[in-house]
Amino acid sequence: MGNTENWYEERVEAYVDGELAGGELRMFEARLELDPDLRASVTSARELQSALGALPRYRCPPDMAAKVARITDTEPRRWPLRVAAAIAAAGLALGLSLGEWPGSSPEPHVAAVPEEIPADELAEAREELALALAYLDKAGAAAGREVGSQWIKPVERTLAAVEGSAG
Amino acid sequence: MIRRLILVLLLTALSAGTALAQPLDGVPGYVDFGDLAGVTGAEPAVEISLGQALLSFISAAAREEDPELADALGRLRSIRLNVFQLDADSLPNARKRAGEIARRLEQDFWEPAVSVRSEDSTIHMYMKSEGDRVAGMTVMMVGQDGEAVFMNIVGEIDPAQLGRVAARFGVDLNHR
Amino acid sequence: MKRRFRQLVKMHQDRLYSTAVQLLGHSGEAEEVVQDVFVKLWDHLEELEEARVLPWLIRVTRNACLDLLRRRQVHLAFAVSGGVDERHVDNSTPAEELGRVRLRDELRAAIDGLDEPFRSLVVLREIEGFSYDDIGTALKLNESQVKVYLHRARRKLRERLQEFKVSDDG
Repeated sequence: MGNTENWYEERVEAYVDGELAGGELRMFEARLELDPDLRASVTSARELQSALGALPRYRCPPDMAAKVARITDTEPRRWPLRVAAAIAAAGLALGLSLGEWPGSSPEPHVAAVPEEIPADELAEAREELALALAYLDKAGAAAGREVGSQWIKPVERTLAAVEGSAG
Repeated sequence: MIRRLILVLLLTALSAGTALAQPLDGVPGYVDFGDLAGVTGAEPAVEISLGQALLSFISAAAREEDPELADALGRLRSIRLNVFQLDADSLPNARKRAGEIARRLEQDFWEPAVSVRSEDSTIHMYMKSEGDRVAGMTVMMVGQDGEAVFMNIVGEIDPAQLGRVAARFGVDLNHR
Repeated sequence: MKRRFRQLVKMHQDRLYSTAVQLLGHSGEAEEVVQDVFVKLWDHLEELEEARVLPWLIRVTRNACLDLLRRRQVHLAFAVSGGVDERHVDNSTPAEELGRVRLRDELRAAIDGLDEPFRSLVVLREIEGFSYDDIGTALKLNESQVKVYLHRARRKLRERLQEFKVSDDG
């Protein structure tokens, strides 16, 4: 099946859902008049939609309510958050009260992100980055050999497909 | 000073009282690979974890010499890489683990950009979209040169740009 | 809070149970999942705004089902009979009824054969009828992404059913 047929086939469900619009809709409907296979696909898609909607749903067994009601016999398990909130509140209160101790700094000091890192740390990080990117390139090259194109092409196609056919 | 010390102690207690999660847990694009050393039976030959702060510094330092690199890195939050050197007996476990992670990624709406299974190697490349941008990239490669590679990149990713930068900036692995 | 919890259980239990049955194909496991989900709801209820409760429930139910499926050593075929088909009007001939049942079985097999995330999306939207908004919030997708995935899922189902048809005719 060529790319053109794929383009229409990929939009059958969107068409059935009424989500094609503008130029896409016109193209699709024009093709629909001429192409019996596409018409058959649209018919199948509509039948499928209907069949899916007709599948049975299920109701909870009657004793579920009683089982679930027992859940509220115990308190919700939230204590880690409660303890944390209590500690935070205590810390805040204590911190505020300590602000009045003689000799304490009048302004709160907030630890800042350092403006520099040591040169040797930066150099080490650069080396690690170069190594990480090398492995990304290696995986890309290996994937490219397997799929017969630059690895970025299937990536871009994948992303386009996700953004694409919602109409 | 004392006030600061007490606040630090209390906040330490606070963090101990809550779940000690990795900082990127729950961030779209982040993948927890689990205990890879346990699965592969080996310690990693390469283990890299670059966070946002370091990536920002490298980005700033690279701005004059390589603006594209600087731009690519400036929008990343994390690059993590684990590489294992495995013998023929251990590779199947690594392949199996990569497959399990791949299935989990697909359940979580990661898009499989490349998925290759050949006799020699297994390669998975996945992208995670958040709105109209790529928020995460995961690469798993098992079998090439006896290696198992697990990589996760988090942040605002332009895959084409990252690919160009990787080809240009990456070291020659054959000459390490 | 107990009253709010009970109201939410009453409002959502059938749909969550039905979702779990569709995903697991097993009523006993579905029951366990739903009970666990409501235990979690009780634990988290104070943090959840009203508008986020249903998406949260969908998410937790789906994840619980997928976790269970991952832990299963053996694939189990859909094994729940009955169910409520509120949309079916029972004035069909025996032949029509047989055809309907057969299509339903083929459709179940086709849904069963879908990979995630397509399978759970079909269940959530096409069978259980959750809104795009709730599904999107639950799964952290925008509406457009939900629709794209659903279209792909239905296309896969359509192709699968066509294969069944070809193998029947051949």
